[in-house]
Amino acid sequence: MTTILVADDDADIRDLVSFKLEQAGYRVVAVGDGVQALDAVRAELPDLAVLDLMMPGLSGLDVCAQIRREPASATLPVIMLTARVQEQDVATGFATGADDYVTKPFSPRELLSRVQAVLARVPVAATAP
Amino acid sequence: MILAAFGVTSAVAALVMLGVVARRVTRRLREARVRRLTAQHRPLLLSLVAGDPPEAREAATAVAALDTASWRVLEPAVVALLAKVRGEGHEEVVRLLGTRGVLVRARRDLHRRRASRRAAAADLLGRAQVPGTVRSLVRLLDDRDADVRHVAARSLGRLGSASAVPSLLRALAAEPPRVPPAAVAQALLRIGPAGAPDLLTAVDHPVAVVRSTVVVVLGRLGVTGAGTALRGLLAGDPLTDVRCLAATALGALGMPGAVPDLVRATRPGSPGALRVAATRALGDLGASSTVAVLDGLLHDPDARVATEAGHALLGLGVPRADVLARSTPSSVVAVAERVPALTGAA
Repeated sequence: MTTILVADDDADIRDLVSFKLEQAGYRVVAVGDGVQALDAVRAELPDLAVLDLMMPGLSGLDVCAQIRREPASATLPVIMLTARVQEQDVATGFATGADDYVTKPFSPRELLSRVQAVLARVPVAATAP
Repeated sequence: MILAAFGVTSAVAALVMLGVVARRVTRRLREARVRRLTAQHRPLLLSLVAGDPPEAREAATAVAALDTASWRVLEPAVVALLAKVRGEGHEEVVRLLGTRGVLVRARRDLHRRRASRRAAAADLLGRAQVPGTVRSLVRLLDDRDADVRHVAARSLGRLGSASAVPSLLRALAAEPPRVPPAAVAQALLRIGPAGAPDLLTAVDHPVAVVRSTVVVVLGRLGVTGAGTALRGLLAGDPLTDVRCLAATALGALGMPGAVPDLVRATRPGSPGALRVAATRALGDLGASSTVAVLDGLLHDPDARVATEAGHALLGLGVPRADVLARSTPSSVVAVAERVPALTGAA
């Protein structure tokens, strides 16, 4: 089963994203900060990560950069979920290695579509839940 | 006598303590009930906001049918979701709030005595994007409380109605401004290009903060029709700050027609801050025709101008070795400091 890591310090967002993804048949590992996110990446080796940009401790950008540095997770697809919509923020997100960017407030349905689209681009990983 | 007084004092103290304990117990029981009810109805709320349409409608019907006591507990959680989702989920929440009478109550609350109630109502109506509330929110731009005015401006931005633009600019033009310029700018940006006609009529507003805010917003929105007006401000506004902002906006618009005006602004007779802003704008504009001018500015005695020129050339795709080779020693240092990738390449 395709596993997706969801990291967001906002419990509402975390629950909404998890609910939508689980409903679509994915297995979800949800955490509330950047340190837990990195731990989960190492422990669970998910197929995709949805990271909030602004988290206490390690930000989503920090987590993404670390994911890219570690060989085991270097190719893990990452979608950034953030309230920051400045052009520069988006550019920084992509420069750090994010595969896609979703802005808050977000549409759960759109997020699911993006998750599916990013997973479909991954050559080996499971593309269906 | 002393013993009697002591007895009375002890009794009063015991009663006070009992009261305190009773209040704490009541509060904890209430909080526990809120937690229990919220957790109990959490799946319903998630279905409402993130479920597929039939499931969301079912959840909406179930939440709409909740008894008043349960709804009171759940309402803050539902309202909080408004700020977190858009699309169908947002529409479901707004429909539910309408069904439960929350939106009607919010309209009423816009006229309450307590500022916090007015502000909360204005915030909710903005987040819910309830049509037909623009006029009420515009009235709040003149509220006696600064927070209420600020929230009203933000909500007008969320409603996205271009009809609010003149009122927002009026609030900015007051002395002192009725709403902070950054809040007005945010609201105008949210309203978007639909507000451009009113923004364009305000570029020569007599109040500087209005001009500067309008210039920033026009640039950020990419209103290409603002080119002529912005070039006018760049050339002749009495305030250097406004001229700098006009340069930045022209750079953001990326219109090649603005190159001669920006080049003129970089010349030595212009104020230093304007020369820096114009040089940066030439880089942002992204026209290859500016390379020669920027090349010349690499040798500028003002290190800030030289730095911006180096930065701009790199942005235009000129190889860093070329930029450094063409730089004077002072600008090499300045460029290298600003662009860490260049360090060590000299």
